[in-house]
Amino acid sequence: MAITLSMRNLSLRKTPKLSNEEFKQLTSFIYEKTGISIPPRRKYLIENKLGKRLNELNIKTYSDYIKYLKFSPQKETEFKKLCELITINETCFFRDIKQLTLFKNIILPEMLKKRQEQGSKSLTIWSAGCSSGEEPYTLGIILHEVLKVSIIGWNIKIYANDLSPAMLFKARKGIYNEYSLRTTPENIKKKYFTVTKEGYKIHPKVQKLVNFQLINLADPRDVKKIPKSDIIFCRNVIIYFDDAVKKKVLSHFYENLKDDGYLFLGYSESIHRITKLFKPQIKPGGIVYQKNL
Amino acid sequence: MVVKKICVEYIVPGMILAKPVQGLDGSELFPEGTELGEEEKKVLEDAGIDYIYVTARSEESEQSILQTVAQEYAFKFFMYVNPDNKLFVELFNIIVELIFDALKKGWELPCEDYIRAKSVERMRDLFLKDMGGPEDIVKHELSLASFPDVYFRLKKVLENPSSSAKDIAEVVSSDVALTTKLLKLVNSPLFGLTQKVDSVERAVSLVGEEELSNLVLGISAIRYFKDIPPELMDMQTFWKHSLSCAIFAKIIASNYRDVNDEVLFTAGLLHDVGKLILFKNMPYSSVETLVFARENMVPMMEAEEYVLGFTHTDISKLLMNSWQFPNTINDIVSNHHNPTEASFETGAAIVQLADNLANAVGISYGNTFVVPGMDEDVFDKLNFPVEKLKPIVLKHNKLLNDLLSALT
Repeated sequence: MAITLSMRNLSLRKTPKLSNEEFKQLTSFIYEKTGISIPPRRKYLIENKLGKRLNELNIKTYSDYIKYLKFSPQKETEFKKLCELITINETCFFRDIKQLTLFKNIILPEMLKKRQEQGSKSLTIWSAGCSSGEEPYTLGIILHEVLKVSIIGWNIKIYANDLSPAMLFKARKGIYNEYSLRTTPENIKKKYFTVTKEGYKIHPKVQKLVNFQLINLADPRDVKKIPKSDIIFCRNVIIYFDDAVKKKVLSHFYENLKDDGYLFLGYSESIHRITKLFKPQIKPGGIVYQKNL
Repeated sequence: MVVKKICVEYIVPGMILAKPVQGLDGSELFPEGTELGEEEKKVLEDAGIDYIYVTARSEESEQSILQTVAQEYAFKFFMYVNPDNKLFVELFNIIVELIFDALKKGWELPCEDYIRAKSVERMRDLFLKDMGGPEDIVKHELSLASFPDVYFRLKKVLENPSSSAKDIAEVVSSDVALTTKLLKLVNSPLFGLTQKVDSVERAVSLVGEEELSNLVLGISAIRYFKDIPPELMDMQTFWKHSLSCAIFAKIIASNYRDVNDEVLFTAGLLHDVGKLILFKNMPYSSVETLVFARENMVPMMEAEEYVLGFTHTDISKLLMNSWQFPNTINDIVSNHHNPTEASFETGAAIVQLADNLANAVGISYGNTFVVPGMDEDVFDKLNFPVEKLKPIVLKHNKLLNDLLSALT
C-alpha cells in the first residue's frame, strides 16, 4: 500500500467530545420534546450526527449546544434543525404494496360506500409522519384511481404532518427523483407525474388533496389540529418511540379516529403489547386496526 | 487525467465535470468542465441525478480528491464506534488506504441507493410481527432440510474411543466435494503446513482429529444454506464476509494459548448463518432490517431488535442446538455480539474482533454495513496489540479470494 504523507495518522474524531452526562441531557431533551428515544449505544453516532451543526454554529462543547437549544433566542429554529438531524426520512411512493392493495381493494371501497350511504360524501385521511410527502401523495393517487371522475363529488382531505420543516418543504414542492418512484408502477408514473428539469412533479389534482403541517405527534395540543379522521396511516414512525410514548401517541390516534375508522401501522410495528385501545384485524396483505369501543 | 464515474453523493469540491449533465427532461444542468462545489452537488442531488463523470485539474489535485473521497466514504461506516479508541482509529487508517488504492485502480464506489433499490414487495414472511418467534422459524427450517449427514457420521466416529485416523478419513473421503475443499483449505498458506497434504488421512494426522472435524463441520455447513432469495443476499458476498471473519479469527487466535484455531475458524465462518435463515424465512422483514440499519447507520444486530424483535444469533443458537453442534462453537457464535455473556469469553471476543475487521475491510470492496463496534473492556481484556492489525489485514487480503473460490 502506497501511503502519501497527508494520509498518515488520520483521526476519527471530527467533533467535540460528548460526555455521558451531556448525552443524557441531550437525549432526555429530545425525548421530552419529540418522544424519540435514543439508546446509549448510539452515543458516538449522535456525537457524529450533531457535530457538524456545532461546527456551523461555532459552538465548542455539547454543554453549550444544549444551553443554546434550551435558552437561546433561536431555540425554536434550532429545535427544528435538531429534528432534521435526528429523524429518518427513508420512504418511497407505494411503499409496502401488499398493505396498500388491502387499503385500495378492501378498506377504502368499504369506507366510501358507508359514507355515501350515510349521506356525507366526505373522507378524511391522516398521514401521520409523512416525511417528504410520498405516503400522502400515494394515498391521493389511490383515491383518484378508485373514484376516478366521481372524485369531484367528494370532499376529500388528506392531512399530512412531520417534525422536520425541511421534509415538509420538499413535500409541498412535490418533486421527486427516480429513486422515490422505484416501486411505482409505470402507468401510475405516466398518469400522475410530469417530468421536469428537477425531477418528477406530482400532478396538481393529487397535490390539492393534501394539506401539510408541522406537527409533533407526542404533543396533544398539536394533534388536536387534525380533524377527526376516517383512516389514519402512521407507518415506520412509532418504531422510534419507547413504550410510554407509543402508548401516548396511540391514545391520540384513538381520540382522533372516528368510531368505525381504520388505523394502518408500519410493517414491522405491532402494538398488542402496548395498548388494548385497538383491535387488530388480520386481512390478506397485512394487519389493520380498529378501535376497541 | 483519469475520468471517473461516481455517484452524486461522493462529490467533493474541486472535481471537474468530464461530461455534461442532463436533467430528467433532457435539458442541460451543467456543461462539461464545470468545477463542482457544495452548491452544484445540491442541485444535482435535488435533480435526482445518479451518476456523473468527473475528472481533476491536475495529477496532484486528483490525488488529494481521491484521498478526500476515501476518507469521507470510510468515515460513514465508522460513525457508530468510539472515535478515540485506538483499535478503531488504526482500523480507519488501514481502510482509508485500502479504499484509496482501490479508487486509484478504478474502483467505483457503490451508491447509497444500491441496497434499497431491490424489489421484494411481493415476498412474504413466515409470520407477521409478534405473531411468531425464533422457535417458529427454526422449526420451519428444520422441517425443510436436514443438515449434511457426513457431519453426523463423523461425529459418531469421533465419539468412539477405538476409532483411528483411518476411520475418520474414510467417512470424509466418501464425500468427494467435501474432500476437495478440505484439502484446498489445509494446503492454503493460512495453515502454514510445510508439505503438501494430498489425503484426508494425512490431514488428520497433521491437523488433529478434533481440529479436522471442526473444519469439516464448517465446510459442510456452507452447503446447507441454499435457496436464499438472491434479491436479498448474493451468496458469494455473504460467504466472502464469513470467510473473511474466519480467516481473521484463526490468525488472531494463533496469538492465544488455550484457544483452538480451527474452532475459531469454524465459528468465524458460521457466525452469521442465523441471518441466512432470516433471509429465507422472513424476506420482507429482512429488507426492512437492512433499510433500517442503513438509514440509521446502526449495525444489523440493533436493526433486528427494532424491526423483528429478535436477532440472528437467537436463530443460530436454536439451529446449532438442534444440530448438536459442539457447544463451544455454538457458544461463540451465539455471543459474538456480547462476549461477556459467553462461557468461552475469549473465543467470542476474538470472533467479535474478527467480525469488526471483516466488516471494515469489506468497506474497501463494496460492503455497506457499518463497523459494529466492540465493548472496550472486552477488547482490553484480549490485550491485542493494535500494531499487529495492519500485517494481519495484509495477510488476510492475500488469502481471501483464493480460499473463497476453493470453498464455495
